[in-house]
Amino acid sequence: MSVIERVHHDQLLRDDPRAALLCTHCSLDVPPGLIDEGADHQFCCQGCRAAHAVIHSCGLEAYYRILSTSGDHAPTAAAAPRAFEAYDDPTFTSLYTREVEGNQREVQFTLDGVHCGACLWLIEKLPVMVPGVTQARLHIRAGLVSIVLDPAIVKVSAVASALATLGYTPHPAKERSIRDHRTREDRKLLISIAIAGACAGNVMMLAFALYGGFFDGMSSGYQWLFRGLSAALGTLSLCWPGAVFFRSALASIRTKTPNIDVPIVLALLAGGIAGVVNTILARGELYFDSLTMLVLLLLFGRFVSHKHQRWATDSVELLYSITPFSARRINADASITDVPAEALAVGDIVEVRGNESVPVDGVVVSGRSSINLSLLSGESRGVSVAEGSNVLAGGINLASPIQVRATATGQGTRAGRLMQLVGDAAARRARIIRFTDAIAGRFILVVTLLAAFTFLWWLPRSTSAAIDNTIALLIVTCPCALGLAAPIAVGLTIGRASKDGVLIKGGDALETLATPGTIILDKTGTLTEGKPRVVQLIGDPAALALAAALEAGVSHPVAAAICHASPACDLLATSIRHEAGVGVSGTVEHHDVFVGSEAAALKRARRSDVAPADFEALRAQGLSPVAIVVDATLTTAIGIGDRLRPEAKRSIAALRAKGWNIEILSGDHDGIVKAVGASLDIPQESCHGGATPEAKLAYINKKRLDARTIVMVGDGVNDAAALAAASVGIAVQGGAEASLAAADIYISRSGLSPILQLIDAGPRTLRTIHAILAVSLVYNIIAGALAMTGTIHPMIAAALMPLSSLSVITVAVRSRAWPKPAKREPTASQPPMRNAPRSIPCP
Amino acid sequence: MMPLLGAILLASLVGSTHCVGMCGAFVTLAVGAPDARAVSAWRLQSAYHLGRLTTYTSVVALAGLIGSSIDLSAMLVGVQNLALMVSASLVGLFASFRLLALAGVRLPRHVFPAAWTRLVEHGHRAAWTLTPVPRAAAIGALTTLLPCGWLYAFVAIALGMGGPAPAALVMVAFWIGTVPLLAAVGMGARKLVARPGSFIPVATTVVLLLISAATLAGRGRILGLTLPGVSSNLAGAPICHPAIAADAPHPLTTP
Repeated sequence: MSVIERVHHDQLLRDDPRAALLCTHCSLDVPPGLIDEGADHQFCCQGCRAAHAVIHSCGLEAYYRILSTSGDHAPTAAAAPRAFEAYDDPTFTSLYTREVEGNQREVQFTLDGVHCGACLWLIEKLPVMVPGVTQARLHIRAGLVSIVLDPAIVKVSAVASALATLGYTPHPAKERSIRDHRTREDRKLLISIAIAGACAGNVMMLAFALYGGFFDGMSSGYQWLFRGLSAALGTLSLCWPGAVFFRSALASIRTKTPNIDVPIVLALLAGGIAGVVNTILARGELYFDSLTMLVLLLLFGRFVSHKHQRWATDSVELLYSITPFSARRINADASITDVPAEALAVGDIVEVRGNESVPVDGVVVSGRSSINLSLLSGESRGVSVAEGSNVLAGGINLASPIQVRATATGQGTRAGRLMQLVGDAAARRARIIRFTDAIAGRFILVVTLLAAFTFLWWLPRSTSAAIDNTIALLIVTCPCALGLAAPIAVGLTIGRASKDGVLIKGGDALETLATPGTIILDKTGTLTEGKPRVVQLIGDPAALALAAALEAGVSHPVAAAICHASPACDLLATSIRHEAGVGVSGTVEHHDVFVGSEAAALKRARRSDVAPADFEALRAQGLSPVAIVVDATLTTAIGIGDRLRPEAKRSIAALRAKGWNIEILSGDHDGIVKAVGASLDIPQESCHGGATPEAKLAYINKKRLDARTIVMVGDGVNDAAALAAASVGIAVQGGAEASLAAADIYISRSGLSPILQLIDAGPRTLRTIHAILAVSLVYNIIAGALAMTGTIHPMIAAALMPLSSLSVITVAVRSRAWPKPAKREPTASQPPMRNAPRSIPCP
Repeated sequence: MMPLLGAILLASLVGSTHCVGMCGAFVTLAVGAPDARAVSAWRLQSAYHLGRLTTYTSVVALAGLIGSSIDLSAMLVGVQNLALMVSASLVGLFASFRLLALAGVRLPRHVFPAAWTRLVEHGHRAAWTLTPVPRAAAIGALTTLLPCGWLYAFVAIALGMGGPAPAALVMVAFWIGTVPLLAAVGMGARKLVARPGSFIPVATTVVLLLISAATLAGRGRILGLTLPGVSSNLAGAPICHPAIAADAPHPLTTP
């Protein structure tokens, strides 16, 4: 029986309330005043409590079992200390990991201590450090790392231990929300700043006394006292609030990934060691006043830039680009409370008013309205909802207030998963990002060499100047801008684009769009409105109403066009028959009516009021001809066409002006495609119709051989293969998830305007990155030169360093790399309708 | 000094039954691990206990240094032996709380800083990667970091000694008192160590109270050791300005 079981056994046996409980660790009586009601373990003192925790953390629980049985045998020592042992438990696996392709598992952790781009380099080196880990992606903003591992090779606990060794304590991502994680991180940093401030203040007071004594004289006893206290407080400041720099630098050195904390730690060590040695030997300068102020200013700077960085990325948080920050939750007592969206749980009921975004996936429990789900479904028409209807987060309530019971919240909603898909891929490294990462690593090496040179240069002239100037150089030079520039610029562009309904899967897509090449456009929905209309009518207009009555129940674009063109009538159609590929026939108001192709109509009609040349004329205009037969007479021919977008010609011209070649690749009839191309001044040889999805893929592959940028714009589902094969695939129709599986970009808005924005965004983003790099380079050159020449004091350097990060973030935020959409101009580019259907009285 | 050291030794011997309970696990693990079976038990025991002694003396040497700094500062305001009084008060306070808990009085529960416990855990996990003898020494050294009230009561007394050397002597005496029973546990003779009766915690707490009360009542230094260059005589208290004569009466003591 273990000690614990013995305790409980004794408790069960004894009814006497005065009976003592035994300490779980040492088996002595627990003082009555220290009994913890309801706790599994009781301890007689803090020492036993701590000893128990230590034994458990080392995986040596067997000690207690053996102790209770024999007490004389040595326990089986753990083969190795096992931290994070619980992460290997099957329950943990089922709750916090998910299976991904290749029999691998993905697990997410929130990490403590993530503060800058250098952390990203370190953590993404995990696959190199830990065999079995195939991927590690860090979301700096959330401090969230997604790790893919092979469970046959490495355990989750080993991965967690490796992260802890790097200085980033992992916690299962679902255990705490991002908000809690941020609050905890901020609190820790503020406590560190407070302690650093207390140490710095006291050391400064001691320094005043010592400086005063330097001029007026001070007895050796007091000197010893004040110097000793300075050393003690300085050491405390370095070891406690300053420990964050040492941990980060140590991890950086272990993984051979230099980061900003390496030069900082070199500076702190140089000053600290020199100060301690001088204190012990009772001679020379102390540097603790500078060092403690340095630690304080660095921590404060880190806090400010962290907040600023968080604000910049929060403002374009992907999920909140389509779902609201807050929601109105209806409580059990029918009161309504405004809560953050993150605080919603499954089962909560929320109220969504007109023109508001739905915050959760759920079921309507009250009210009727219409919801726009264009971002998720690509369908811009509103979907009617009532009690019992399902709604999705991100949908816009177009009409009346509704109440929704949540079935999924936050990242669990379909919108959340979609944004995660975009967010995951947003970490894909553009070439420019890989370039800046490489530069930043070398930058730190160069700075370290310059610091060594500075020290050796000044040493013969003045030891204190050598130390001061070296510290100043190490502190003031900052590679953070190099590491932050590209990810921030790309992240801001992607975030702002998502607010405009353009989902970009990776920074590399933006980079590719910066180089002009060939854009291959789909016709329907991109160049045209995507809504077939009756453009021209030849013959008897009265037949249109009969045809509309027949087509009323048919879900076909041609049927929709005919119904739209006809005035509303109460005509009833009976005996309706559908013949696939031929047409529809039936009886309307005692008339036999047929609507279908010319060939099928001519077979049924004994007489025709429309000449074959009229049908040819319709085709020549790029219209699809449809024949109407009434009582065996072909009375009417209508031309169905998709109107060109008013801005299409102007947009095409704008794209050409930016250096892009334009082509059309469509599944529609080749003649129609060429006609559309002609109206847009696109050369006929660049207009290809009648293309199947396979033909489109083959065409794209052929164009890629030219090694130029090939951008394909098409249907996310039907053209998936061609979209995936292009340099950049842009899906303009179909559901968002399906589209993003194949394409790099998904546009939920129709038309060419978003494409123009995308084409502009690529070069603008690159220009922003170059501007940030230039600012960073100039700052480092000037500040470094001033430090090396002894012009700036280490404390000034510590104040300047966070300013460089702030300036980078400010430049990125204000850059507007994602352009605003162009204003609509009321122009018409389609030909006028002939024999336009006039108001037809009902027969 | 000798009477005090004798009293400390005796108290430590009596209280070491609790040491067996709390630290017995560590000495057992240090000495009895499977991979240590090939190593002589005496080597392991020696390493463990010397590891303890090293950190005991280091901690109190530091405590003594702090104590002498407190004394030096206290002289400025004419308070002698401040460090000793502070340490005696701390010991008395701890013993009083302990007695109240034994009597069943519920006191606010003190939560030990988690960071400190994590530090100890890290140290032990690192120790387990070492070979048996260094591991035993490391585990012994780490026991000083456990929040043991009994140990730190004596550290507080050492702080009152006013200097590193006498403080270290106090801890040596304490250490000697803990060795017999802990060594017995390490030899697998746990069964020979009878489960202490319920009077032991009360007895050890009363001992601490008596030491505290006697010290506060006496208000005297045990040794005349002082810091180098600093006189323990108030008239010769360190001064800031060389213009003031060394034998001039201190302004704070001048009526």
